[in-house]
Amino acid sequence: MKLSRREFMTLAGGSTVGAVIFTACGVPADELLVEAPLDLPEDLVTGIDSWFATTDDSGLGVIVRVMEGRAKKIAGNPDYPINVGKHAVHSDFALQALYHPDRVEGPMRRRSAGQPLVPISWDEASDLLAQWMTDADGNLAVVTNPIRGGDARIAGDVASAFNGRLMFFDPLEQGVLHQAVKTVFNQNRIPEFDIANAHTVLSFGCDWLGTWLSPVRYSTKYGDFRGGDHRGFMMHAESRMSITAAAADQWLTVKPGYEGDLAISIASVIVKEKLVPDANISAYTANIPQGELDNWAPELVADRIGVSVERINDAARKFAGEGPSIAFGGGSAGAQTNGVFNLTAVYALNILAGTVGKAGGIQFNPAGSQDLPDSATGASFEVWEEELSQWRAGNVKTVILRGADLVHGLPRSVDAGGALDNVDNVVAFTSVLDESSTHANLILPENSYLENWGLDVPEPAPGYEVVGIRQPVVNAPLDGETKARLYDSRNFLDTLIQAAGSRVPVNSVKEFVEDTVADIFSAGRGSVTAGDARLFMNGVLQRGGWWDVNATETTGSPSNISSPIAKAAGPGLSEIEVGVEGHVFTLVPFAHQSLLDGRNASTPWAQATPDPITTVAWSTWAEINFDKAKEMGISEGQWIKVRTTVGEITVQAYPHPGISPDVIAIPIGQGHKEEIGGRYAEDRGENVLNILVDKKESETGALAWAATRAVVSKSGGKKEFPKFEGDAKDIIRPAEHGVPILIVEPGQTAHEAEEHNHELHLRFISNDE
Amino acid sequence: MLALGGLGVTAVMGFVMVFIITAWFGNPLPVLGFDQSPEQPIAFPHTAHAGSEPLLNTDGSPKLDADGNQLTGIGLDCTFCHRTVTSTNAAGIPPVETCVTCHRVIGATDSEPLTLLRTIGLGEDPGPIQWKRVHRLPDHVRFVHEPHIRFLTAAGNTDVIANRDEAAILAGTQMDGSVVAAVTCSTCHGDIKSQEQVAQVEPLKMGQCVDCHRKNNAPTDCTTCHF
Amino acid sequence: MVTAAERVSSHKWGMVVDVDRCTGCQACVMACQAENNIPLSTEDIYRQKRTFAWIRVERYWYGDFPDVKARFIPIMCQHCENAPCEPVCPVFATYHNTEGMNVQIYNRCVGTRYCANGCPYNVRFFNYWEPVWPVSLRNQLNPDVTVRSRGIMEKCSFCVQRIRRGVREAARDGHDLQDGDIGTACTDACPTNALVFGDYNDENSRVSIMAKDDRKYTLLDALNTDPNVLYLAQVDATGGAIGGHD
Repeated sequence: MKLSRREFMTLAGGSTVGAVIFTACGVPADELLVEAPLDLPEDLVTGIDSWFATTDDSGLGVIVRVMEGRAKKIAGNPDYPINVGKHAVHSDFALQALYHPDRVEGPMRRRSAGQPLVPISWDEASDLLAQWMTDADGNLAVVTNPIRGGDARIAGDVASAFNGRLMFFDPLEQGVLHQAVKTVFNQNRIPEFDIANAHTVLSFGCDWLGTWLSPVRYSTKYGDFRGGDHRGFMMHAESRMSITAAAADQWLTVKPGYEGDLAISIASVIVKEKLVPDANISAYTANIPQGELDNWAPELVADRIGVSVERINDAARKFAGEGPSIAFGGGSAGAQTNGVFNLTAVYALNILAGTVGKAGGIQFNPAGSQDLPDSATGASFEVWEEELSQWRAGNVKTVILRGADLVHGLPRSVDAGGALDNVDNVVAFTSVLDESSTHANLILPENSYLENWGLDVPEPAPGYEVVGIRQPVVNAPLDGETKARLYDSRNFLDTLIQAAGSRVPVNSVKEFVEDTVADIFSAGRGSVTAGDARLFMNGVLQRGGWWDVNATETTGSPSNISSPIAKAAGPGLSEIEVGVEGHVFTLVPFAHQSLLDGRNASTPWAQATPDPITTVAWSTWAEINFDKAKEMGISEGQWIKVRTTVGEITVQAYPHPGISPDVIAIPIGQGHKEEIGGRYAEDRGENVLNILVDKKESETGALAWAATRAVVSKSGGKKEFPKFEGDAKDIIRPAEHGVPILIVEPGQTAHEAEEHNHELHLRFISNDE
Repeated sequence: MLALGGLGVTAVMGFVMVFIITAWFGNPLPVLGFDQSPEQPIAFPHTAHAGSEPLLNTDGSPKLDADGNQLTGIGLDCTFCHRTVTSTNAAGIPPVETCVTCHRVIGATDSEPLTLLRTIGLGEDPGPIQWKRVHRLPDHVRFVHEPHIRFLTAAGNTDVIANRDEAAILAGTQMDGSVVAAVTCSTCHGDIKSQEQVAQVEPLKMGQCVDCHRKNNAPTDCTTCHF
Repeated sequence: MVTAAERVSSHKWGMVVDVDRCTGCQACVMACQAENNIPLSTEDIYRQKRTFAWIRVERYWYGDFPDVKARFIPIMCQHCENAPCEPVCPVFATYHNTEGMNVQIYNRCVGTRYCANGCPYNVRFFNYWEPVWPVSLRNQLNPDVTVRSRGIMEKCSFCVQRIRRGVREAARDGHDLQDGDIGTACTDACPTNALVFGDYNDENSRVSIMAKDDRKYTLLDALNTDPNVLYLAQVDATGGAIGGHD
């Protein structure tokens, strides 16, 4: 089209020119506008940042910075007793989960297997859900991640209203830990570990500073343990260098499955050398036949368990030395066929230390407030095997999944996907599509916790009653152009309540929270005091929860315990295939520092956070001992095959010196297939959980996820890791001792250490010449 | 002919030069939409709200109400609508709610802008108003109203107020010598209350900011505004 | 009223890092990314070795298996008093201000990258590409911090936006700043309190007290950069048994 001069001037003229020119300079057109909203609640006022308190889905109290209606930053809630103002690496990921570009936008239905998902309305979806729940009366299964407090109460009520069951799924369940705590201390809840006041800490198998239970809480206590007037001494037994092992003063390189033997061996030294008061020894040995402990003398077990005689003796003397001392364990130490033995042996050490129920030791937690469910752990693998066989047999009509990716998290041997395919109606609440939702007939978009009401009873509790309140802190994100809700998601529990209708006694989660808080108010104690129930509710919401520091558990420590050696057994590692080329390793999966068990995998921040030990991001790696790798001809980035009797994955090797030569460690959380887990997680890395052999803990039936043996062999080629290490070049190669990390001996000043290092350096240079 | 063409080119080039130079040192020449006074979706007259002079029609004749009485501006304080100016970054654009609180009843029923406003604020599907931004600073500048107002209203600092309306300042002076916030706005925004359609009158370039900061012993560290 | 604090600074901001408390958990790294609109470090960016991390946790191995230790140290801009990055900037986009901070002015930066070459700590990051966020993720961006465009150098700012807000709001509400009122994103996050931020001019502040600790040292002391970030040495309670120093 040929423009006349007048037309051109008309086009170029007018008030839009400025906008056009600004847009060309990269200024978005909407920045040239300023909106007068219809009304102006405080959180929409430009420039004001409001911080709202809520409770995140890992049990931390958080405050969320909201500006102009959008969540900007998540920080620890300074009032909340669990994390006192601190937060974890994964706390901010919730922001990206909230604004994730691949969040499910609305309900979707799959008419029949193999058909694509088609969008449907919420009305249609809720009717369908109600229909399916009614149809499945008596054979309904509601499967969620472990939830506690009001959330668990409501979900349980809904399930039982239809004579169904509420089941929890956690790939790295804590059932063994619960069993051990029950056995040793007769407690149902995981106790509080008073690390801050302890002088000596001895831990086994659990990465408590990184991923285990409540790492932020433990880390705050670890800070006090290190600081203060008197620096504590810490020992950690694990086959792999986790960040907890790295923080320890002494790392005990125990072989997987022998943590219990190590603990008993330490006890045998303490008993033999009478390093603790007689009362403690008699409490510990009350049910141990005379002389039995001698079978665990360091000289007899050292070779078997992989820790030298001197180290065991030294650990025993340190543990029995300056107190208070505390011992605890879990994680890979419990994920063995002899897991309960390992952990009971570990926790029984506290009896020897005599610190149970005292400052610096194990402190018990009272039952949750208002009789709310106060403890949750995934159902054991044995239970899942049975449940899935029911599904496969067509005995379950409707399965509701939420936050539980069975297909990704269970070993391949149980074929969770096949079992789901035999269930008539599979409903998946999810915000980003996961592996299990590909087997669902109905996908329902779920809120982020930032948009939800809820009520949490944190576990582990801090030794007294705590109730965490979850409140919606942001409005649903709006589309920039249409100003419509970007994601039409709902609260999972509210949707269930609505579908259950009059069968459940509550009308909404919000109402449940208000009622519970009103009940707490009428008890008239705790952290909030107010004249009436409404003000009380406001006070609770402002603080993000309610707690009563005086509501502690008064149960004393047991006077004697059942014999910690009664259940003694070696680990039962899985078989290996005969005739497969390669070296045999024990395969120890571990929770990724930022992806955890994979629940954060969809957010780019989680993917981009470098692993502390290897600095690798965006991929799956296999940690292998440096010297062993050299022997096998494996260098960094080499593709290796890890083969178990049920499957094989090909991952890249990361050799480093901090792992036992007979162990290969692989992080979990990756390995989503194409178009699963959103754009940042799809088709990335490998899922080690799928190749685990179905070994079970002998007492609880839990999956012994650290008891699989694998054959490792080189595969073709190598590739450089996407890793942070080596990115900042110069400082990585220390020019002399003490650069950049200066190490001093106790009592030595930095200046003295620097002088000493400099002398060494000069000597080194002169030798060079 | 050639000379004429040459003259034309020179004229155009000269105009472009003048445009760039004015735009560089102050406000650009008010042509091609650079008049710094965009037409707003609703013709909101600051004269009627903030001003207290008799109102005029576009042709200069006095504006009369239905009974033939002269209409005058109602002289609202700036902070009546721009509420957060004394406490935070932005002065704050009032929500539609604030407008219709009065205009539900006040104002002619046949007025085009008011009908539009009532539709937006009270209609079946009430919605926001997208005003065109008049005073806009680049993304790398963090301007906060609050400390500026705090400084200008303080006793002893009133001399700094520019584009002064002496009568208003006198009327707005408190017992302790401080002044009300509304009389300080003119320093950067000019005489808004006499503008039918708001225009940017001060260039609001960095030079102007720094001059004022230097003169008044305010911080001139770059990270005062740029971070 | 404008206080003296706002006209001529009476603050000297600084940070003390107790290496002995650091567990390498990465909470500081993530908090910084979320606060400061740091571009997403995609896998491509990792492979190009152009990762952005205003604060990073470096890991060093000491010794051999089984007497081995992994040790961590968080490293961010050291805000040197004698900063090697400052004199090389041809446009004064980076300079030392009166509050002890080495500041980077994005709108002045022309992208010569001389400063990054001058910096011995490797804490300056250059935007080789325009940072991209999917539209919905832009909702999270912090409106208090400029989104840097291509061709700009950036680095740790000591969360200057929080300092400005903290000082301003204290003056507005008429109360004095207390130690701990202003925290950077990383110090607020750090669960073990290995990172502490504060004002060296306040002699009762935590950083002033920690600066007198026997374990105090500075990174690359020999270069005489005189950093405002101080470190407290890691204690080896096993008495040198494990390789770290002989």
